[in-house]
Amino acid sequence: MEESSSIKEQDQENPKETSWKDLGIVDTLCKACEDLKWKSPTKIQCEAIPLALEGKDIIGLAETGSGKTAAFALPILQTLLENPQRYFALILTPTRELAFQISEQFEALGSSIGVKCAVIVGGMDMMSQALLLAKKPHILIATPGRLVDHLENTKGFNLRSLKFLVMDEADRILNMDFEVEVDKILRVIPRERRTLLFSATMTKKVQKLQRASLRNPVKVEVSTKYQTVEKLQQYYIFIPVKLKDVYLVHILNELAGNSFMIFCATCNNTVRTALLLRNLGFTAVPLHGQMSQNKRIAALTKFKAKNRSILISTDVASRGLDIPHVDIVINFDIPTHSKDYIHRVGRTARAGRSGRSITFVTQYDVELYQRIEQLISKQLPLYPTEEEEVMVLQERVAEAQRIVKMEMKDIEDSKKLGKRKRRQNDNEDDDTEQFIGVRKRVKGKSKGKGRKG
Amino acid sequence: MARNKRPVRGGKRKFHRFDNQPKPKKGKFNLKEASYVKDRNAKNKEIEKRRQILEEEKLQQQQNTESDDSGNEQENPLQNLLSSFSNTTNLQLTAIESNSESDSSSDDIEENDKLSDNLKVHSNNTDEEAELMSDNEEIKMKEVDEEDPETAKEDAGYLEDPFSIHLHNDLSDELYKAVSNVPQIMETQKITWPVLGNLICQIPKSLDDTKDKMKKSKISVLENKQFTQYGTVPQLIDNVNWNKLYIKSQIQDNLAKANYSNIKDNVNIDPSPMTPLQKELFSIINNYQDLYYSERTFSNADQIRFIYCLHAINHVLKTRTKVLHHNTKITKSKCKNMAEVLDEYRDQGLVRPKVLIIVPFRHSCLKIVELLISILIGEDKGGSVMNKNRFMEDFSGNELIMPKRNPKPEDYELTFQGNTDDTFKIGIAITKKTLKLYSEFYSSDIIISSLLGLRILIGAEGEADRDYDFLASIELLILDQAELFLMQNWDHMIHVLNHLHLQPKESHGTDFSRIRSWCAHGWTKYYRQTLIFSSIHVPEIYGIFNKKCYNYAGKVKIINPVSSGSICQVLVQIPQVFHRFNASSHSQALECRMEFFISKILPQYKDRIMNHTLIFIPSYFDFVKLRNYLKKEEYSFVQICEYSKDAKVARARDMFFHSDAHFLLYSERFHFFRRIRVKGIRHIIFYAPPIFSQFYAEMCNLMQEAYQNPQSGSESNMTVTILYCKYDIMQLSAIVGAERANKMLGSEKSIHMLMTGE
Repeated sequence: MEESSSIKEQDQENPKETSWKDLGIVDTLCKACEDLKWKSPTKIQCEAIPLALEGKDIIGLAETGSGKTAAFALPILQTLLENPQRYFALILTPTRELAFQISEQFEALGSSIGVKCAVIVGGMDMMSQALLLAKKPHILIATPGRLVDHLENTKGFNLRSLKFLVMDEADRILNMDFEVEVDKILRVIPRERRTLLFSATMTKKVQKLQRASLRNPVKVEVSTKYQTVEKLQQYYIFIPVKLKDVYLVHILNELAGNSFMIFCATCNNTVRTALLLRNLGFTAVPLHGQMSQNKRIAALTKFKAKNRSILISTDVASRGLDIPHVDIVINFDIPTHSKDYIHRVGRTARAGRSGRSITFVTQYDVELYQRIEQLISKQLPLYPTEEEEVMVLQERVAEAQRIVKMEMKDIEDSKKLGKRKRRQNDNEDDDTEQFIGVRKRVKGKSKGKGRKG
Repeated sequence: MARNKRPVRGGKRKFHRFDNQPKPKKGKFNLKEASYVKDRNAKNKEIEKRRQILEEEKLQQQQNTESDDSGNEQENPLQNLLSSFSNTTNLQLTAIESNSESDSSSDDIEENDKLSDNLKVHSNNTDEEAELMSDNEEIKMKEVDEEDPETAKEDAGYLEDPFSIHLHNDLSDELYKAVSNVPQIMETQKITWPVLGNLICQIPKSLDDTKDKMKKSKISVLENKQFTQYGTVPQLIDNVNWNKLYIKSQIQDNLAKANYSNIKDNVNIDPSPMTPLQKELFSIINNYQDLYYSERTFSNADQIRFIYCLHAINHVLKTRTKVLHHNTKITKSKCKNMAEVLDEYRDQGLVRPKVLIIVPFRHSCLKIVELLISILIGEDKGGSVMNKNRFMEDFSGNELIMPKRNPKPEDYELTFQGNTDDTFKIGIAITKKTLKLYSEFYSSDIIISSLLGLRILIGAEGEADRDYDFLASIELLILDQAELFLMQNWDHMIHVLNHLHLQPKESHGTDFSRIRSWCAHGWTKYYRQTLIFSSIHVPEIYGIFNKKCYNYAGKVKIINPVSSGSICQVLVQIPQVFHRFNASSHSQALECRMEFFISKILPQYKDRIMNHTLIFIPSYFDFVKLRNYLKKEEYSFVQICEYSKDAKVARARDMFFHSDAHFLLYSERFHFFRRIRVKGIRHIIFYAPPIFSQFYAEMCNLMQEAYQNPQSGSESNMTVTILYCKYDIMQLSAIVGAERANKMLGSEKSIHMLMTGE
């Protein structure tokens, strides 16, 4: 704690002094950083890179958008340079989008030294991925589920020579969600390895961390308490549930011209909200876990390319995604886990930019909201609105809500028509928000457990 | 929330995916077993070690008796030995192999010293064991066989065998650019050989050679890699020395016998085991270049078949030896790490089938299989052929009955001899001494198939049970009697070629740590060798050779000008008028031809005196077009095509002969398959030059007095008309000779008349 704060001070006093070279990074990689217009290392990089180069296991904690990816990518690349080897490092991420993003970073940094990366995530063709693996990449970036699939089913593939294991968004990976997969992976990779955990929020439970079997890990914390970035202006807005839509539309209207990320709690709600906003003339695109992978990528690309100004997503996009131009994050549904709040609002105000976040609090969400305030130890200001102005919109929104209700029903119905029909219609429009398979999966599951569908 | 998504996903994976795969799931991280497995491994290792030493001695003895071996080969047993000791030594070993030549020798000496102690300890044991284990000699022998000294040598980086030179290394970036460019960037060279005549060699080469040396100086995590070299111009074989041609030793003894029928005539003059034609063809084939040979005849068919069968078997055997050699090496060294499987051990494709032979009829397949058997097994007692009886039953018999009276032409009888069924496919697996027919495709080395058989398997887009994964790793494609595919269905050929080397949909048990690096890159098509043999030179075949064959080693086409052409066989004394029309593109030529025919030619034949006119149409599409036109305009005509029923054919011929119909539309494919003698022809219009040039003379000769109806028409009123454009040059030169064809196309006049006979 003390150490970290001292470094922080030092950093502020003479920020120009630390350069990539001072961290012990070799010239080729320094040059790669400069080519990417990264002038000097960030706090977490300053702290984590020298330790990682020393060969220590690291638990890295730093606020969102502070350059955690490079903090593990650079040491890995440098160690790889010293000792070239195939299947050198494995990076586990919770979401597919994040995996692609990390791979881009590695390729950007490592292209000059010929590093080969492979992204192994679900939703893509197994055979193409098997061929990718056969090309013997140096760095594997994977989501746990698909990686286990390959370990079990792709003949000739294993990770017995792995030297580095990185868990990005480690608290999420060590969470219950990925329990089975991560256990399987940990069992087949060598114990003689280096393990790096990175996240903006970290689990305190020692047991969970033990599963990652770190050896004498060094904890690198840039900030002691969970923090959100200073340049982020955070607001809340306290409204009744039934007026959520109206207020959302009002805010979008008022702040038109910015790009928004809106977080909802369920896939269904993202679809509904997207349809609603589109009905009212906004360019909104949904992103959630039940879209096919191609649609997910397409949706994200559209948003990244600024073809769409509003991305409505579930928590699938809450972590790690680096989209610099996001101005405003709206928590349409309040996050059930307070740590998710930090990740969500971390999508904006990245890498020194400013940004705003607005959290919708309804009469049912007060307790959750208080927990968030406790976590970030801040009292947020109320977002100012004129009720009369808002209520002007009510009629139009109500009209749109009715239309959306019917559209949603249509989508439901078309799904009832069975697999064949759906497959044919599958490629209709990459912008449709069909949350394929919810119904089917739920049905299948409940059948399996002997309940009524 | 996203978190409720996980169990659903997991459930799906467990219940739905891969449950149709019966293959045993490989060890699922069973940590519990690890302890006793270790014990077992240790034991095995010890046994292995002893056996190793024994083998090693044997091998050395062998090599000492063969005096010609070099220093390199002597390293091999030592390396084998090293690899058996432990993983640590193995790591050192890898270092040696990747080093350059000069380093490796000095390192080796040190290595020797280190291990000499170990050797001494064991050598005492080995003497005793030698007697004990003599019972197990067979097993040992087998293993010695599997460890192939040649392969080991190649793994160390010495490539001499054209097989390894072709397949061992990756394409360099520059060469890849040259090869993947459309059209490929190539260097053309012309050479002349005594039997084949003019060879045109086209070898892909990159334009900038110098740049790559600059790049290598950079810091990189990539290993230094050996890349393939450019293809070379084939060198003519002088003296046939099987060893120098890198024919596998196990089949060398069988070759003279298998090829006896081809060489027996000249055995006194020329004692060489191959005929001059075979020598020249094999110089190209063994150089792993694509070949297009358009002068296949019935007399040299057997010679050609022997050459490509020899090459196919040689290729498959080399592939197998490598795989087996590396299998044993890997199990011995116990390195199951994907990263530790050396690049040299990557010796497989995505699927097993390596050779695809496409032939038109079952009879051709029968002949090939018979030849394969005689090459691989000969009269060896040890070898065996599985499912031979079933094969003989399936592929013989069912012959066409050839009429004794009014016999068909000789070439017809030869083409359609034996079983002429054109729907078949057969997988052949080859092991050391056995040849298994009817093996499952994914465990076959060679696939022999007809075009239709293959097409049915591949299926079309959207069909439920289609499969083309087995075509993913074809390294040698042979099309024999390619001209017959034109008469079967050329579209199928294109379809098949388009489905070669696609990414498989399932893994079929492929070991991904062993697949060749260029396979993983999807470059298989640049490594495929294609051999095309046909008896005619036509744009279709030439087209696939130019556009669908991408071999980086280059391609050789044999193109000799036709000196006389089939017009010399025309016996009747009739003026033959060649009409040229202009067309700006190949596709436009279809329209232009029709238009030209309707406006210029047809009016001349409308008159009643001009009846008994046969219109000969090579393409069925043109046939339909013309028929529809004549129907619409209400001409008096009858038609015979390959889909006409026998009764209709008879009636059409009768009406034509007795002047009841003015025109007879006659398709080339019908003529090819039936070879009837149409009687009463006074005039012939060739809508386009026939694909088979001999049909030109044959049709003209049907106008002889003997075939005429004396009641109608007169000898003075007989004509032959041919339509052609510049895109028909190949067929035209086959008819009139290359020199004359060029003159006709170059001349200003568009009408030429040739006279024959006397």
